[in-house]
Amino acid sequence: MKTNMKYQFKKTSHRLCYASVLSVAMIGLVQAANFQQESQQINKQLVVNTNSNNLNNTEITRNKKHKHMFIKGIAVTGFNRLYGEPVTNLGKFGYFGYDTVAVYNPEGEAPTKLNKNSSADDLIATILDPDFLQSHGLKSLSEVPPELINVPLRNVGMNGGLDGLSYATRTSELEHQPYQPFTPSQAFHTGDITVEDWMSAEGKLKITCKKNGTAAVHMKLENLIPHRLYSAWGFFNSDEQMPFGNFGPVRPFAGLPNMIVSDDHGNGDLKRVLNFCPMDLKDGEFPLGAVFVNYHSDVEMHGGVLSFTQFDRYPGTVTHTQLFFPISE
Amino acid sequence: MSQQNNIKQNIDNKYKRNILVGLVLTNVMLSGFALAEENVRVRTIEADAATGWNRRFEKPIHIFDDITDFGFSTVRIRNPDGGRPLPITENTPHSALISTYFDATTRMPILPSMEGFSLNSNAPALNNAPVVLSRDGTTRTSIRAHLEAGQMEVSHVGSSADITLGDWLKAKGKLTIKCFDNGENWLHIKMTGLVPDRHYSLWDWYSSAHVPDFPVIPTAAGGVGSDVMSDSQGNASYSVQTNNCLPLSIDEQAPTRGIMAILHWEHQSHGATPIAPLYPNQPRLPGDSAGVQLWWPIAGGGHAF
Repeated sequence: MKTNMKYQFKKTSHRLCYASVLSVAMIGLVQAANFQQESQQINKQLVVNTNSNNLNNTEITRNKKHKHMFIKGIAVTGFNRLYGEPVTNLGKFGYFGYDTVAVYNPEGEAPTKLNKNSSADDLIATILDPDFLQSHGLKSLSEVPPELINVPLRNVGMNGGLDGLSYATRTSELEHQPYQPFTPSQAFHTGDITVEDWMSAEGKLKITCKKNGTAAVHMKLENLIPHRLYSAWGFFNSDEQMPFGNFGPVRPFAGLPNMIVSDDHGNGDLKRVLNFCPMDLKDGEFPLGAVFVNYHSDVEMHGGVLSFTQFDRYPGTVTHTQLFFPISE
Repeated sequence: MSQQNNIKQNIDNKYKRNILVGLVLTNVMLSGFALAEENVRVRTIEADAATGWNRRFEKPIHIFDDITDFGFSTVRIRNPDGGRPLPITENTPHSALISTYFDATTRMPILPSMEGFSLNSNAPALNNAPVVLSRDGTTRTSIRAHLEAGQMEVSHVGSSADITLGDWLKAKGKLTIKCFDNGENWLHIKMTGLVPDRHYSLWDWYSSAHVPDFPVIPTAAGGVGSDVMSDSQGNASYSVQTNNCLPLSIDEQAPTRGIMAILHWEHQSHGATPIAPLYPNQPRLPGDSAGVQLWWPIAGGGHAF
């Protein structure tokens, strides 16, 4: 009898468990559908909303009444660059930007510029845009070690030493002999990173302002390079002047850590609370010009900055803008 | 009537056929599971929070046959008067604040002489640990919680409340190793009770006859890129395919000693090394920039406490 009761109890608890799991799954589905629906509604509004930004394929609209903002991310080839052209006007900083990826050139030292006619199978490689160096008051391109440029992204050096600066190409984990001190592997991956892989990235950013002056942020990313490190950054139309002393008006988006780890299917997610409302700025606050997402080919995070230029680690050689969410008006 | 019977018969046949198909599919699935069960070796290890490499409350978690009680602490308690951090014991109140701590008693080469570079003289609470904010890679500054910081101030996610010993000890983790007969090997790790919205990474520590001076050597578990973010509830999981059947087939030359999850409170990582003790001018020491919160003992004999 006792056993029977125990069995019945177990059966009931199992049913309850299944029911809870189903309910949670249903709630998740409904929420996902809502997010999708909201995004679609916004996209529809684009057609009729004359106040929306509509620069170079940018899809932005905002509903001031509800203080929501949806931004569709654009797969890019650099910071505010798509095929070498600006994505948006960054206000005070105009069309400032720089390339951070190019096409691997097996026959030369310099990579080929990525353009609309690049083949989908071409390999994505590192590049260092002289505009970046100049705008940040850094040395000239000829002074940068040439081996950092025109490197397919999978071959970018990763540290293997206790100095944190011993960079070398690392083999894929599954092709690597185990337990070789200081000659590590990189997490398993399939194949090189091609133009098609790079330009397939998609992202949606939803910002919802709250009454207390903060804003909830939800970024959903798809088709990223699987199982790799990304970071999210904000670019502000601040009063900083070029050449930028540090990285100019770039800050980790909504605080550190701003890391996003893509899963094995290339999906990523960032949920944060922002300490200001981009659609309702207070005195002394600066407009958020853009949010961007960088891929880290060196598989390292660099604290509160994009990279350590002092050690010849540059945007374009170790960190690469893959998605750009323009917000400027 | 006959037409009705025919329809009924058809429905019955369809019903029977569906049942038959269902039974066949179920059998196929069950035999598939049984086959899979036969062809995979699984090992599961559960872990509670650690306060260092093979350390909990500054005592060894595990005694190895050869490297015995090797280990070192990577967190301590913030000294309310400033200065050196205080040891963690079983009696330390859970409200005490966790601080950075470089343990110079470690038997790792190079490290013991480096206390002068550490933050030990005034070890900060973890949320106040300095962070690199400059492209020179060396200038480090304490940062505030995002909701307390100005718009252009670099800040950290989460509240301004510091991390207490009680928070730290909530961490739990389950590590599962699956090795299939076809040579495919997987490492799965599930963690709960972590510090929410923080950068963690997972490391496989082994001993190598090629580097006898080092009792243990780290390698990123599954290769460089063994990083995870804890979510706002403090949960995180990590799955990776590995090049060997981790501790189940121990390489006598290089046995895995343990796997650990470290918290990067400096928000910085270093590729294939968990820390960078020889970083120019400003060494990134264990306990100064990152610390062990979960530690799974794997191999090397001995017994767990």
